[in-house]
This record gives sequence, C-alpha cells and structure tokens, in this order.
Amino acid sequence: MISIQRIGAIVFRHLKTMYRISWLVEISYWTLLDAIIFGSLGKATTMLTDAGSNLGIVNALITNTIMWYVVLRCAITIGFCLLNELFDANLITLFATPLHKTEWIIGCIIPGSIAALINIFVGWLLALCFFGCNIFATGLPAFVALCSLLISGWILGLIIMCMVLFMGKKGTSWAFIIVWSLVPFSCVYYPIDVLPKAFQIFASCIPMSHVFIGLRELIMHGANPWPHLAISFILNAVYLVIAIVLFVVMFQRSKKNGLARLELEW
Amino acid sequence: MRFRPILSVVLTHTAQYLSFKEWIGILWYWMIGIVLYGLIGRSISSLTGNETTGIFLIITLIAIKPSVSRCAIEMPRAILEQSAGHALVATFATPITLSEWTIATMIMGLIGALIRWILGFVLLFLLFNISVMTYLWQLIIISPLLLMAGWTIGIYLSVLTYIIGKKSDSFIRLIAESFIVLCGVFYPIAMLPQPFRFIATQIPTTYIFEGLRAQITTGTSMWPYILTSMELNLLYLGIGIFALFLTFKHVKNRGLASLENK
Repeated sequence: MISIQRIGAIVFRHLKTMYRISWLVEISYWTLLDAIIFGSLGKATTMLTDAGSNLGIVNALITNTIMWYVVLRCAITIGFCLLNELFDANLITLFATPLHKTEWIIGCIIPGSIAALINIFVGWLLALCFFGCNIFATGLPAFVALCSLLISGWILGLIIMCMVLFMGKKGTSWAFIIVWSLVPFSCVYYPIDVLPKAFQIFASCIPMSHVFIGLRELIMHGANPWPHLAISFILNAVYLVIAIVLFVVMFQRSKKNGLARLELEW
Repeated sequence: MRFRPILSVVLTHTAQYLSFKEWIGILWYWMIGIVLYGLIGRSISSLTGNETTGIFLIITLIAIKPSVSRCAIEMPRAILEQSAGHALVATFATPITLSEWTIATMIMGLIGALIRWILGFVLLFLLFNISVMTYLWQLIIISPLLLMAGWTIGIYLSVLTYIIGKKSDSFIRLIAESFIVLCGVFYPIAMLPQPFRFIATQIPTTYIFEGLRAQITTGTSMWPYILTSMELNLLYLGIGIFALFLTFKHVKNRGLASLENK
C-alpha cells in the first residue's frame, strides 16, 4: 500500500537539502546564458534571411532551448536524489524503514518535476524580459509539450539511477554522458532533416525530438503540432514502462550484491 | 625565474591527461559539442542560403571554447586541487615563487587548449568535411589573443579563488562560460539584449570575432579590431597580474592554510 506520508517525507528531505539561493542562481544563470546564445543566434539568422519582421526563428529557438531545460533539470534532479543518499551514506538506512521502492521513486520524481517547473518559470521570465518572447504563447500545445518533456525527464532520471545502481560511482559519469549525448538527436535547435539519414531514424525514436519538431513547426509555420505530440506521448509511455522495469531489476540486483557496496565507493 | 619548478608543476597536473577515462571524457564531450554546433551551423546555412555562416559558427566555437574556457579554468582549478589535497601550503613552502606557479598553470591551460584544438579540427574534418586550412592564417593571428584572454580571465578567477577559497569552485565555470556568450562568438554583438551590449564592448575577445566576421563576410581588414583587442588584453592582463600578486601577499600574510580549511 502506497503511503502519502512516506512519499511526502522523501520529497521534503530532497527539497530541504536541494533548494538554496545558490541553486536558484545557478539554474537561472545557465538558462539565461543559453537563452542569450540562441536568442541572439536566432536574431542574427533572421537578419540574414531578410525576414526581419518574422520572429518565428528567434521564438522557436528560445522556446525549444528553455523547454529542453525541463528534461535536463528533471533528469539531473532525480539522479541527484539517489546520489545524495549515497553521499550521505543513507541508502541502507532508508530501505531499512518500511519505505517501498515505488514510494521512493515517486518521492524522487516529485522534486525532479518541481525543479523542472521552477526552471521553466525562470526561463519564461528571462525570455520575456530579454527577448520579449513568451514561450507559452502557443497556449495549450506548449503546456502539453511541457508534460511530455517532464515524462521524458523522469525516464532519463530513472536511467541515471539505474546506471548508478548498476555501476556504482563509475556509472555517474556514464549516465551524464548518455543524457548529454541525446541533445544532438533531440532536434532542439534544428529540424530533423539536418541530421544524416541514419541518425534521423534514431532521432525519430526519441520522444523529445517529436516535441521539439512539433513546437518548431507550430511557432515558425503555424503547423498542427498534435500528431508529433501524440507520438511523443506514445514513445514516452513505452520508455517509461521499460525504465521502471529496468530500475526494479537493477535495484533487486544491487540489493542482492549489497547496497553498502555503493555507499562505500563514495 | 627557474625552469625546473615550472616543469614539475606542469608535469604533476598534466598527469591527469594520461588517464584513459579523462581522454574518453574530453573526446566525447568535445565531439558532442562539435556535432551539435555543426548541425546548428548546417541548419542556419540552409535557412540563409549561405554556407559560410554555418562554417563560421563551428570554427569559432572550436577556436574559443578551448582557449578561453580551458585556459581560464585550468589556473584556478590548479589552486583548488592543491587546497583540496592540503598541498597548497606545502607547495609554497618550497622555493617556488608565485610567478613560476602562475606560468606553470598558464602552460597547463595551453596544453589543454592545444589538445582540444587538434581534436576539434580533426573531428570537424571527419564529421563535416570542413578543412581548417581555409581559415588557417586568420586562426594563427587570433589564437595568441584568445589564449591571452583566457589567461587573463584565469588570473582574475585565481584572485577570486585566493579570496573566497573552495566556494569559488561553483562560480569558475559559470564566469568563464559567460565570456563566450557575451563576446559575440556566434553572432554580432548588436544582436545581444541591450543591457549586455555595453559589457560585450569591454571584452577583448569581442573585437577578435567582430574583426573575423567583418573580414570573412565583407572583406574588411581585421587589423583595427585585432589592435583594440590587444590593447584591452594587455590592460586587463596588467591589472590582473597586479591584483594577483597583491591578493596572494595578503592571503599569505593571513595564512595559506586558511584556504585549505575554508
């Protein structure tokens, strides 16, 4: 039986240790830097295409750049929920309590989602202040895209956790390498046809790429984003199930080998 | 100034490059960055119908990233590594001087930048079939200036590290990367939001890329820009060195051990 109280305790533990002013400054800073790079790049491109009044390129680039942070922030925060337990040598203690795996996963996903939402809010404010770009100007599709990206963030967060559980300390760097490697295939900054043919197939299997393609098409050409968003949700559902199964298998395996081995590495 | 203490510091810190894991990390992250910006460049070229804009984007990324961010980060990182290993006091208890230490960290930054430059241009050719030879002489002119800018930022970051100690660890990358954003590497500074344009005009690297852009797109001479960049670089470097010596003297008087304990 899932206990809301136990989930609440896990969420509170992570929120309490994670959210400091320096954390807020850090997420705002990186979001601002990326917004400036791609906002300015979009403006420069617009000037070169003689489409001075058409701000589609700028808005699409800024929106996708900031939206990407939903995935990144959610995945990293979920990954850090496990890493924090390992740094504090708290994992064994945690599972000596009646806490269930499902409750723990939900307890890690919630702070990840909160962090992602704070990040997107900061990004929305910065884009509005510095570029006059409202990333939610498209209305409902933007919010649906946000939900799809949140689920992608959960999946990547679970994969980071799986790698840390499987490989221990070594898994941390590999996990972040994997997340970073998905950026070129997620089509955040360019359409899918820019990729070489072989990689286009791979990119079309990534749920994030459909979200970003849909958003870009909608912002730049007013195209219907729903087919892309629907595909992203279907892919997300499949990958989420796989990620949860993988996590359960890895956790059982790690428990069999001894969770203490993970804590001792740090 | 003696050669041997400099060499020993360089050898100690560059030993990290001999590890396979470090190489995989450098190569992989660098490759993903190049692939990402190469594809962005390709997309921009197709939108503008001008291939040069895309090539310019990726070449300038490879030119600036290692020089400015690597040189800048390597210097304070060496101080942080020493203080984390409780070796800072021991190091400066030897006859090594601050000048020798600073030059050694500058050389470390140079080695890091050279490795990434070579890897970057090889990857650029392999992945996008873009030869660096087309822009070779421009790159030869700008690279010393970029390195100088990197070292200058590194000196200021070292000053910050001497003042606030281990806490500076989280700011170092943040500050170094913001120079890349503000100096108009990928776009003219006129594209930046108004509040950032003034800051951009005070950064030496801005003039390097404005000059390079002017030369490639309109054929205008880049020398006036290079001269302005050099003047600013020398001014900031001079002030930076003065600040570094002053801060180090102050920290030494207070006790270097305080940095290790912070």
